[in-house]
Amino acid sequence: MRLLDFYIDGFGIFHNVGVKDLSPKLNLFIGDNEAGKSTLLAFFRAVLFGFESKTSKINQYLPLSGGNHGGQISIKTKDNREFLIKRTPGGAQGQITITPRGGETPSEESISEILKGVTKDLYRNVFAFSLDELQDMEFLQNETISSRIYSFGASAGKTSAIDIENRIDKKMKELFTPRGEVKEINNLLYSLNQTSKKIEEIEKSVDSYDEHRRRLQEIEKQLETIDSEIAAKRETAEKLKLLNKAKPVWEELEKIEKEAEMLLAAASLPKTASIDDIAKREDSIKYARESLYSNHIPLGMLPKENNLPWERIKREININRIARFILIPALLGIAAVIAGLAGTNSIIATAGVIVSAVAITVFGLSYHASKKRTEKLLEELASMAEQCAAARNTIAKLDWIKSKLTDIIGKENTSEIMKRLAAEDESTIAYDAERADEELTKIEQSSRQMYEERGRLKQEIESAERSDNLAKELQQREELKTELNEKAEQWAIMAIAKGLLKRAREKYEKEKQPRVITEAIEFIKTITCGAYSGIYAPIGKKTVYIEQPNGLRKTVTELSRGTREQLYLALRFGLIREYGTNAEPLPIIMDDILVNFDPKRADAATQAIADLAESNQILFFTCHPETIARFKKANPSARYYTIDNLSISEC
Amino acid sequence: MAFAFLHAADLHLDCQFEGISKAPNDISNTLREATFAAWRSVVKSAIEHGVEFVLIAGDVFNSKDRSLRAQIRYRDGLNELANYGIETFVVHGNHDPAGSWNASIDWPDLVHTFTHERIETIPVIRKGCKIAAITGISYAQRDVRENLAAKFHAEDTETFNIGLLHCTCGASSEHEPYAPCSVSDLSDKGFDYWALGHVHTRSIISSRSPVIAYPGNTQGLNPNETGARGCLLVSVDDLKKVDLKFIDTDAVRWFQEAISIDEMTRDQDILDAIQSKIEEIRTKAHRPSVVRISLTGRGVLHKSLVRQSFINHLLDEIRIKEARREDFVWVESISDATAAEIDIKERRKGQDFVGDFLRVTEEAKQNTNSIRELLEPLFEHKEARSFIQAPSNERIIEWIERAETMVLDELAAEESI
Repeated sequence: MRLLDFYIDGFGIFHNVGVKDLSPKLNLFIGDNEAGKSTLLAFFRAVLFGFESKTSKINQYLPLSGGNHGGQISIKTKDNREFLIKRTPGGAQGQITITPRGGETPSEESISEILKGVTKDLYRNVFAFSLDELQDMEFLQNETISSRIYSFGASAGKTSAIDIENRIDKKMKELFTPRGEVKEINNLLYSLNQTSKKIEEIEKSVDSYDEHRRRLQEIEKQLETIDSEIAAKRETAEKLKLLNKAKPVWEELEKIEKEAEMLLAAASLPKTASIDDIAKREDSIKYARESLYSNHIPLGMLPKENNLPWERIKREININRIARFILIPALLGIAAVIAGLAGTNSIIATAGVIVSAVAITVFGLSYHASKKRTEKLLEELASMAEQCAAARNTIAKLDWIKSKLTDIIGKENTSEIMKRLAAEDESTIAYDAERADEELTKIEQSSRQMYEERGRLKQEIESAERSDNLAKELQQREELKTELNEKAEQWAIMAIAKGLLKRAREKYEKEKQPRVITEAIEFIKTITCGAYSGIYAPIGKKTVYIEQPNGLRKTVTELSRGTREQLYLALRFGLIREYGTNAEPLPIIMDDILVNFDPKRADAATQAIADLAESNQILFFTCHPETIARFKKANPSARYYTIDNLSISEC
Repeated sequence: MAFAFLHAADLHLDCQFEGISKAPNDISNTLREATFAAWRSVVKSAIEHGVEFVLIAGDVFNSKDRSLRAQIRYRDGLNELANYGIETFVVHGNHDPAGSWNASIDWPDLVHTFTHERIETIPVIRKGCKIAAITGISYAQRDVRENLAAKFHAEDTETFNIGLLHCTCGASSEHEPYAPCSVSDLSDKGFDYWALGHVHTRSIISSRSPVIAYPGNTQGLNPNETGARGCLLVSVDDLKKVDLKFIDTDAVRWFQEAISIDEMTRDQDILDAIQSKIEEIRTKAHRPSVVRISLTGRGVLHKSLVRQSFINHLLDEIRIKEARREDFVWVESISDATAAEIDIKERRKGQDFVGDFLRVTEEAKQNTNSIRELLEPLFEHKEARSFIQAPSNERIIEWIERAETMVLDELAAEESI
């Protein structure tokens, strides 16, 4: 089908404007901004498919310069039938009237029959489009478009391939995600790391086992000697303690000993005199005293005890005895007196008186002298007895202290102890004793600590030797590894399945691309001057990939604006071609779509459009002189129109 | 003088099994103790057979795990041998190189551990008579790429000469080629017996003089180390003629079994087949076992098996019966390598999407590198990398096949192809 002429009654700025005899191939409409190019594009859409509804946001292009809303176009179909299509106001989309050329009655055929099923949407997007539509990223999402692009021949599996891939992918993600979300495999990896850390710790403890063994040996060596050390220290301490205790006793002993010595000397006793010796002496003294009192103890029986004035005693006793003999004449004299008196023998009496007087005088004198001496002797003996008693008491005290000392220091090694007692003063001994005690406590404590440590070490060594913790952790690690490898295998099989599916899909897509795509590929090659050599429409995905000659694929979003427009243009041309093979080739209306193309690609695209004009009539709107120049170069037979000052005229 | 000795290697004490998960406590304890139980068996065998000495050709421990318990249990075994007057000769391997052991453990006097500094020869004297001479060297570090065997030579050719070494003799794809050497390196050195270690699968490389033998490990450690594992009882007669006898020492045995679903029609059939396979193993193994089951073939049951939950359910049902048994057969895993009953070859020729998919799959099997890229997000993930095994080419191909099955199943569900 192609447009023969058109007439605008009232549409936007246009009123009573028309063009007759459009070129069946390429028509260029040149107009500045606001001249009405977009209005003209909208006019063709509106006549064929109806006005935009009042509620839509799209411009309705109500007549601004007068006339009825709408207008008419004449078309000629492939089979050379001509129709007049008229759009007039009425209803939401206006009223369409289709009349065969030359006829009076409206055609039986509807517009969609004439256009072979082209919908408004398809026409708007593929056949009559401006830069806005070309730039629309939603192009491929459009159901009408995508169903055409992805219309594969019926083949088993192809539609579900993507579904299967997605299902597998979902299962894979349940097992594992590389970024450590809480998935089965990620959990296993976490546990494995924990177990590995534990193993490391246990393995480090093996070092401490060696250390323990070394320490144990050291301690055992120390313990071998520590007992004897303790014994020695204890002995020293005990000895010092004893000395400390003995020292005051010893000092008293010293004192008493001196006292005893003096007393013994005073009592004229030998230095070594014992209590018995003293008692003997006392007995002697007693004996001597008694002898003196009684005067009749046989002299021969007197002890030969030294230091007693035995001679004097004997003499005194003797004198006393003689004195008694003196009393005999006295008594005889008295007797004589008595006898004389009685016998009146005065001579005898006188003699008796004289004798007795002399005798008594002599007796009296001697008795007096003797008594004095005896008393003196007795005094001497009493004082000796006193001295002896004092000495005896002291010696007894000395003996008691000695035994007290013996009680303290015992009976062995006494001489050494005594020597030390004599040599060291009290404060030194007390200090040393304290020191020794401290040392003993210290060494005993450290020994106790060592025994404790030995016990602990032995226990630790034994438990380390027996422990199967490492084995358990290693086993645990193997178990986790096994589980991990099982899951990894599941994942791997799915990854492979997914990968193989994708490959099969790509192969299938490459080898069995829909005709739209194969047509589009030709255009993309031309338009991009060979920069891109392929387009792939993956099964089940509403997107396409564009491929460079080196095999690198890019998605739509990865493309620059210019290239994306070129891709969309190529796809439109593909769709147009595909449509044209089994339907009515429709006129194409393009509104300045080359503006984002670089000069080289704009040249190529212009050529492609000019070529396409061989099969489809083209109306191209532009405001760019260089675009006009390009078309002039590409297709000299094109017809040119200027839109200016609310009118359209051929030039 | 005729005598006997025991040749063991690769004890890997306290090494934990790969491939086990979700085992109940009792089973898990048995598995955990398995390497020790195997070592005790070695010690017991040595005592029972009244051998003169025991040779251990490296990898007593997994030193990187630094298990103290392993070293104590090892020492306990050596002590027991020493109590019976049995000497032990040990070289270190790549898993327990010199310096990786704890210094503070006291080893019994009858243990001779070869130094890593030089090749040493230690004579074995019995009743004043030299019955053998053992030459060996330990690894100084894990990675020994030097041909150590080439430097060995027997000093006194009169006696029975034994070379004790942890090495890779000939080509081995399974094991790292530590201390590599060739059979000819070992042949003309004047040795009568090469007691080797490192290769986990028993292998008698030469049964004539010199006898060259790998006893294999004393306990299988992962699903691929199937079958009986143990040590070699080596009897030497007066003419230095050697007789080898294998003694199994494994406390837990590994199995791999394939079960085809070709003829099966009911879900119960799979369970029955696995159950009877388990009983078969129990009879055969005479000890706790672990089995990896792979379901193969094509058939209607494939539809059930594609659901992971079905296999999990199957596992639960089988495992629960084994949980309380001492002679358990633990199913390590059930893998599904079955396929639906469709003619893939025919479909591959088709011009439809399925045809394209099958052709892509076939191509992928030829070029697995492109498949590896698909796995990178997980397999090259910095945290996962150290724990996930990099798949072999065979593995990838298996996965491709399973992926193919998965997709075909999905496509079939969608449009009934």
